[in-house]
Amino acid sequence: MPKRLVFVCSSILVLALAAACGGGGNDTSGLPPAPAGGAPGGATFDMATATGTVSGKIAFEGTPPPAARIQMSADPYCAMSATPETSVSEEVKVSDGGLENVIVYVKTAPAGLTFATPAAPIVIDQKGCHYSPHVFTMMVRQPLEVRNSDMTLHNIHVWAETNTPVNIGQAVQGMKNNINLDKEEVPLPIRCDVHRWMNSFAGVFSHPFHTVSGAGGAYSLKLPPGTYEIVAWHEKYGMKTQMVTVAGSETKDLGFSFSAAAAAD
Amino acid sequence: MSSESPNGGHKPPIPTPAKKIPALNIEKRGDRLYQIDHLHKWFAISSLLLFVFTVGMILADYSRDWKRYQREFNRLSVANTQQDMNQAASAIDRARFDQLQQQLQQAQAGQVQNEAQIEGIQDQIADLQADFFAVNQNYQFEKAIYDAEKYEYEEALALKASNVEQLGTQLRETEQGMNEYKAEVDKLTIEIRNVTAELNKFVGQRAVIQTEVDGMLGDYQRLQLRMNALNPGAVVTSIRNAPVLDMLAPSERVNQILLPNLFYEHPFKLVPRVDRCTTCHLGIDQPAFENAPQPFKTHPQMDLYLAASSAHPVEQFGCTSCHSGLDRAVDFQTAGHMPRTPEQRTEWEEKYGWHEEHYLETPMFAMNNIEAGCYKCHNASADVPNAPSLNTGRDLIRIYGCFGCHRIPGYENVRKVGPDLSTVSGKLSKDWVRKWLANPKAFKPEARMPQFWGNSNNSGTENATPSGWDKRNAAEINAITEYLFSKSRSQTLPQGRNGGSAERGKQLVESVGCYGCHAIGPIQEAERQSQTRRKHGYNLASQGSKVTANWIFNWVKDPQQVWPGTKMPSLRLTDAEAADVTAYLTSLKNTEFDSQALPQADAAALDEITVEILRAGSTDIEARQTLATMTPEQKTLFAGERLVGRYGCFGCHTIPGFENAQPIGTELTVAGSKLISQFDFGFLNIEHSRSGWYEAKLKDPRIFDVGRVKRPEELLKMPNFRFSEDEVNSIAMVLTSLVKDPVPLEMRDRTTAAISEGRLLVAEKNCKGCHLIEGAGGDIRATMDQAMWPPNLATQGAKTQPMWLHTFVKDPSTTRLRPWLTTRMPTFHFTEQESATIGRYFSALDNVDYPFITTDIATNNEKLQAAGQLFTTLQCAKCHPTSTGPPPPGVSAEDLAPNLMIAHERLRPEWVLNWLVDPQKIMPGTRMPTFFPDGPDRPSPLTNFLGANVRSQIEAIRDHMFITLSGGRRRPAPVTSTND
Repeated sequence: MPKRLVFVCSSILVLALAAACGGGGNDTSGLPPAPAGGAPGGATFDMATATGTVSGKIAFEGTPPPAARIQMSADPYCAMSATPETSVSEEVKVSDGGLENVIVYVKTAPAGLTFATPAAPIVIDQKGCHYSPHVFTMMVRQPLEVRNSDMTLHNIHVWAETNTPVNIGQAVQGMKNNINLDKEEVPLPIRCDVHRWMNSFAGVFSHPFHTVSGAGGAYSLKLPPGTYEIVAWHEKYGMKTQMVTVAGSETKDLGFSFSAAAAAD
Repeated sequence: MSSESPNGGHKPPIPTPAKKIPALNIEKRGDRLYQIDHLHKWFAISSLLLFVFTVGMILADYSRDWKRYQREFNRLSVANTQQDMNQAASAIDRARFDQLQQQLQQAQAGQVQNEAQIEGIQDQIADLQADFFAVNQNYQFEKAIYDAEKYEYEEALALKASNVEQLGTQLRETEQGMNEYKAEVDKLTIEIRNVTAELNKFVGQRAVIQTEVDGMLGDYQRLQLRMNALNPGAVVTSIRNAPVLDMLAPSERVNQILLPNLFYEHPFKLVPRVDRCTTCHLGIDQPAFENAPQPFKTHPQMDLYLAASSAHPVEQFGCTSCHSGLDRAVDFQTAGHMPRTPEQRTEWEEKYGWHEEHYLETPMFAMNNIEAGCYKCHNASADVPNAPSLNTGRDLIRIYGCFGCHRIPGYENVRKVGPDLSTVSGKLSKDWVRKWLANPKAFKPEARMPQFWGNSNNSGTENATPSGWDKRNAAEINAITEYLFSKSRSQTLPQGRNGGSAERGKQLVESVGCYGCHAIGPIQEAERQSQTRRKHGYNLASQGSKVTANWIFNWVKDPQQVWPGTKMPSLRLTDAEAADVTAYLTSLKNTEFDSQALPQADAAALDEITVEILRAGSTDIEARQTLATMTPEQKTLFAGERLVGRYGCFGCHTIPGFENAQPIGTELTVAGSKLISQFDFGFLNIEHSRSGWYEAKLKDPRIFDVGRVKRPEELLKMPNFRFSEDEVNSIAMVLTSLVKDPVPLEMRDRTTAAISEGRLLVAEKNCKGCHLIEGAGGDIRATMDQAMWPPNLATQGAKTQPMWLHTFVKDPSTTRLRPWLTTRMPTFHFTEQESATIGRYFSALDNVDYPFITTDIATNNEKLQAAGQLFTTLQCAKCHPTSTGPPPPGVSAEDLAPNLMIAHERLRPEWVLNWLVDPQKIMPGTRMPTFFPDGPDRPSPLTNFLGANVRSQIEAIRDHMFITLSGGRRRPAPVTSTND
């Protein structure tokens, strides 16, 4: 009897010890198997596959407010170098009944795609105490270069809320600075605190489906087939949203409309 | 009936065969009381039952929820590791790997060719190593003898022993022998090295390749090891966790954190906490589980909680010390989880069969109430860091003055919130007071004064007295009003200036800074900007219907002249400005309130009240007799005084005759630990929890009287503040946070006295209504353009000189830093003590010297010369005025930055150096740009100055500001000694 008991106990112990020491004994040499599927995150999106087009006109209803003249006497240099174009406010710019400087973009890009960041820098120039462009869009981490072409002090103040705020003084003509924006943010106001009238608005996106309305309020977006929420944003008149579905290589007409009356409310 | 007596003379009855009972089967039973074959059956049945139950118990034990969670977590970990392994595998450069593999094969083939030679060398090495071992051992022995002899010799030398010489000779002999062995050892070492080098010619290449291969596979193999540990196979896992065997090394086990210094309070006994939460919350400290489902989700803000380097390491704080709940529980229900919303409650009821845990006095704080867990340690100062809701609740308590009636920790020395009523007759009319008391919110919805009459338990018909609630309430209001006016001192205010412009007054109110503490009408919520502090001062709506123009004029001119105890500072308005503000405020009227009918009191109701009060100290007959002797006026004043005492009006207002009265409310010092069984939930169908009761109470303080039969003096008295849902939640959170758990000294918030006193003063004076302090506040910002914002006080201690700050806060009119701004720092009439508290507080926050500092600057002429040019190049003067004159023509005053003329007496020199590197870092959103965007260690974009060194350039600018511009002192050059 005692012998059997000892045998049972010891076999339990052996088993348990084997369990406790389990693992580790596997063969770790040799090449690990290649994982199925390509690189993690999927392939980079090819813009050539964006065959669909959504285009239209950002209409402006009502009488556009007269463009305000900018008073630049605070800085003699600005007053001296102002041109007829730079000395009026670009806040509401209407041509052919269409509203310019409206950022039009896809709210959410199709899931699972990765997009290449363009290497070409976006350049903001400060010339004649005026930002050009006034409104622009870019992709996250796309190089953004700010130049001071004036012989006066400017400070480039990016009023970011999700990105890191930036405020750089450029005291000497010809100074250049690169600004890194690595998060989506629309709108992203850029202002000069020395010259209060100077402002610019950026849209920073994690995808390439965005543009700014040009002459006559016209815009055009190239999109892969799918259903999208298209957003139009204007610095004074705010945001409008519409849904659109594009199939194959069709061109969908999608108009937006802003009115002077709505802003007065 | 036969007698039972044995010696009764009767024979005992003999059982007849017909009556034979089978169970008494005597033949089988013999002389035993039991029957063996029956027992066999019973034993069989009971052992079968025992077996079934044992199996059942084991099964039940093995299917406990926490084990299920551990298995599930193991699956998730395995999947995660597999994913990492795949990633590691795909990160391997396959081409290079194949190449190496090929080289390895070649090397191996080469080795096979030279096998004979290799073996020869290996044998040679083995022989040499054997020799080496033998010789080395001899050498070691000899060395040991030498060391021993050396000691003996040294000892003999020191003791001047007689055998010194003999010992010396012996030592030298041994040394010689030792050196001979050493020479042999060295020779063999070199030989082995040479032969090994020979061997490496054949096998070395392979080793190098193998090392590179191992390096490439390193990450993968490490993960594979981890994988093997996580997933040793079904057999091993099931054996480890099998019944009985699981006492050895189970993979499924209860995890616990022992907290010997933190106690769980059972009745009459403190028991050290043992937190078992991590038994199920397995991914809590693993960043990879951020998006995992509960209970595996990673804890948020690991830099603040859990991590060993954080302020609250889990080994020291555990879980339940903050979250509350039952520490030792290992299942969802008994742990005391609390749902945050009714939706979650329903979800839990369906998913986990959750129900309120009636016997648990410390359920967890629901996640939307989690900040309540902070207070027990963070109770040293006015604010709890990172607890916005809790702080809002504490602000609300300060604003609404709950501490007037209830004792609440942290508000011991706070002034009463309501105005002083000892001069009420000079300010208000009796009729206004009556209407106001009847319903303060009818005058302005933002009124802080709560409603005492016409509430759920003193309106309608429930518990109504013969005269009815309306008349009775009117009589009470009238009695209190008459009493207050009878006790009021008269106050004559000087005649103010008339004829101000309401329009200019409005502009002033909006721009001088009134909105830091006041609002007019409803407060508009602002995005990402608290507006609570704008309730610090009274809402100014309808002022014109309340007070006279002359009173307003005197008040805004200098509030302390009218009421020396007021918290309102002077805004140093000129007479003309004060007249404008007066015109504006008097124009704010509430016509509806003005035309409202007065509450009508009658004699019967007054008698009813008076006799009730009289009855408290005597019999009914006596009370009625006394009543009969009183005039109506006597009755009114008598009832008024007693009612002021009953409702505790003196908790918020200074009322003559009640200077030393004790607060009337329940003490709330440990409101968060009050036993749930001690709450009176009345006939309400609400959640039986602390927060449930407090929320219901705050929403309608009289609600628990519903369905109760009471006499008027027995009814609940707490008035209705008409708190919003959010306000109710915040205040209830504060109450549940007031627990009595003992917290060891070393775990308490270690805020210094300088900081906690400062925070209290900052809260009392509502500095954060205008300023951002410690990252919070600035409520006024939502009402004005950024150019007008009061300054952000981040790094204020490091920024300004103690003397300057002291003088400035005492009398801000001495320095107008931005004289062009309409917003102005008011004069608070701080005492010396209070000014010092402020200075000490800011210095302590930034950990800088206080109060003695030196502001002399060591510089040289070369630097100062470059500095002047730098100053011009950077065009600093474009924004910073460097003269005291008016701003240049065309420049909007709002665009100007602080005048640099007073830099040397205002700023600390070291602060400027940090500020200029990157102002955004110190004050996010400041309009001051950086001129060195690449940082202080990269070359400056201004290459022509001081070797493009950023730090030198910044120093130069500072020196220019302090010495050249504002006339600060230069540190004398060190005197070099000449007589050596």
